[in-house]
Amino acid sequence: MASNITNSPAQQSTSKLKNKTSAKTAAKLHDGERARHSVTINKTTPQQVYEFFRNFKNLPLFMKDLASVEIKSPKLSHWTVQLENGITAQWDAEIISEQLGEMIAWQSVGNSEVKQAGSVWFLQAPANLGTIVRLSMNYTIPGGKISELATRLMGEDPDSLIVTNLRRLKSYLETGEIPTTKGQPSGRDEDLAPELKH
Amino acid sequence: MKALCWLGKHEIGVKNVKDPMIINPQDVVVKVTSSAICGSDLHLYDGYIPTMQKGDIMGHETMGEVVEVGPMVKKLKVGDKIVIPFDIGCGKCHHCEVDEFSLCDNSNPNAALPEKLYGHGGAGLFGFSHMYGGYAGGQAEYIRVPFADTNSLIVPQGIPDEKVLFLSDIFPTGYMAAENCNIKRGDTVAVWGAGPVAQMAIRSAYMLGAERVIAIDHYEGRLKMAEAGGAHTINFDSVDSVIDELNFLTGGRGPDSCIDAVGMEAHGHTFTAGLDRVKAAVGLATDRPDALRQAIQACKKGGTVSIPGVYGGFLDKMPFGAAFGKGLTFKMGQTHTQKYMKPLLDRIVAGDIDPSFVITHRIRIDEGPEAYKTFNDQKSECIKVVIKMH
Repeated sequence: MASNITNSPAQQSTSKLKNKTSAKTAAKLHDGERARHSVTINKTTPQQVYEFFRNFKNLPLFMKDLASVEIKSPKLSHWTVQLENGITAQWDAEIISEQLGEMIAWQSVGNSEVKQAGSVWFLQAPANLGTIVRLSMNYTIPGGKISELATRLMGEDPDSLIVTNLRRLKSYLETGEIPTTKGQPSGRDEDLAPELKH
Repeated sequence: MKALCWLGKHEIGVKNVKDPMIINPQDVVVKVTSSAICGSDLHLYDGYIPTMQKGDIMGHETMGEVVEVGPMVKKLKVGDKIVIPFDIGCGKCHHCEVDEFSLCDNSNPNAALPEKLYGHGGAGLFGFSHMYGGYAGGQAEYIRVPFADTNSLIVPQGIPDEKVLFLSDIFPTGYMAAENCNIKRGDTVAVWGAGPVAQMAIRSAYMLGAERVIAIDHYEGRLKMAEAGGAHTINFDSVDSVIDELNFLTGGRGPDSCIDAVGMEAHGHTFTAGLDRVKAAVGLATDRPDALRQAIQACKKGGTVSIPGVYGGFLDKMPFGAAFGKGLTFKMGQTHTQKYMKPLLDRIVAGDIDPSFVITHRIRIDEGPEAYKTFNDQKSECIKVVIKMH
């Protein structure tokens, strides 16, 4: 994890995390891109959101392009991403630190095109506003080669991917669906039914 | 189905497009019976709102009959006659919970765009650019309504469309503008613009206890309609200074509240208004806020400026010193339509008001492109256009 996160609970997790992470991985991730954002989810408790998130099988319900997560052991899971253009990527992720009902930290293991490490905190929001979810993630592309896959995985940048995924988590937990306009009609040629095209 | 699509600046076309379908579990599909063209549609027509895409379906003042219901819809059923608010609320987030539906956290799938511009994004809106979600609008034979239990008002069968159609936008918008004035008995309210929202604001201000409403415009047809609603009128073409006139009418104090029902495309004759036109034309400014400048200048000390008129970007030469120096209160924003629909329906049913007075043109969808031109070019005679769909 990056060492320059300051003044946040994420910092506490970083230091814990570092002790358990091999020096080599830490050095690699240190050079990677870090992004962190938070969102408030109405009418939930930190415990509820933690439980939903901790069952990694739920993550494809809201995470963009994440096709499936297979649980291999209490600490190890296998993630499969499928992009719109059909490209897929897979990696194993390992939980490296955890505080029940409060925090989960993980990192990808093995040889993957994109290495990622992340931590997520679940905190009580003030004034009965629900749960604050704080997500920090690091991405490293070994060798620094920006492939189409890497670019697509992250969107414009890791920042926008995190913002998107947090927004989708909030929408899913608050409303039970993720708002979209995909599939609605328009007067654009590509949206017209074949029989309607002139 | 047929739909009115935005094809570019000053270009609206009738297109044959696919019918909408249920996409998310809380959606319904509505067979549109009536749909109106709004003054704010002209901001899109004139190319003032960014992030429109060629082919976008227009329209956010819509009503019709529910024909298909998603599996998680609880309240609505097939056959219900509903009015659809222009702003989309999820009904579950904190803002929807406190009746701030147009500030909904969830309904705008493109919220990242306004977040970059505004810091935070508001609700998705029907037919009002991709920054506001890119939802297909209601100037079409059918429309998909997301979070349909929240974004609908069931109206009694048999009530004519024209009486209740404007619960979708302009009646709640005019009413919220008047409510934002914090009117006390005996107050004078000045309204810039005498378009459809202003007409509703004038009548709402009287409902809320204003003693006198003064409407300011330069289209005689619109001023006449304002007079019919009980307003004193000022034609800004025939006075030297609107502010002097308002001071004269209010014993030198200024109106207690001022409503800017014009928004980003003001047509003033002042020096700054001329400058705005030039700057907007060459891209140096996004909005032309001359009505707002006057409202600030005219408002009494400690008064309230209420802004239902739409603004999108950066405003130039704003007399903020005057606003500060006079201790003004500002209230503004997109209407929380869902909050007002039911109480205002009750007003209509009780006979307090029949908002259909504002309609001047009734058309079929094929006449839509021509109607946009008429609405834009002949503002004196053309005040409200209603499209009869089914």
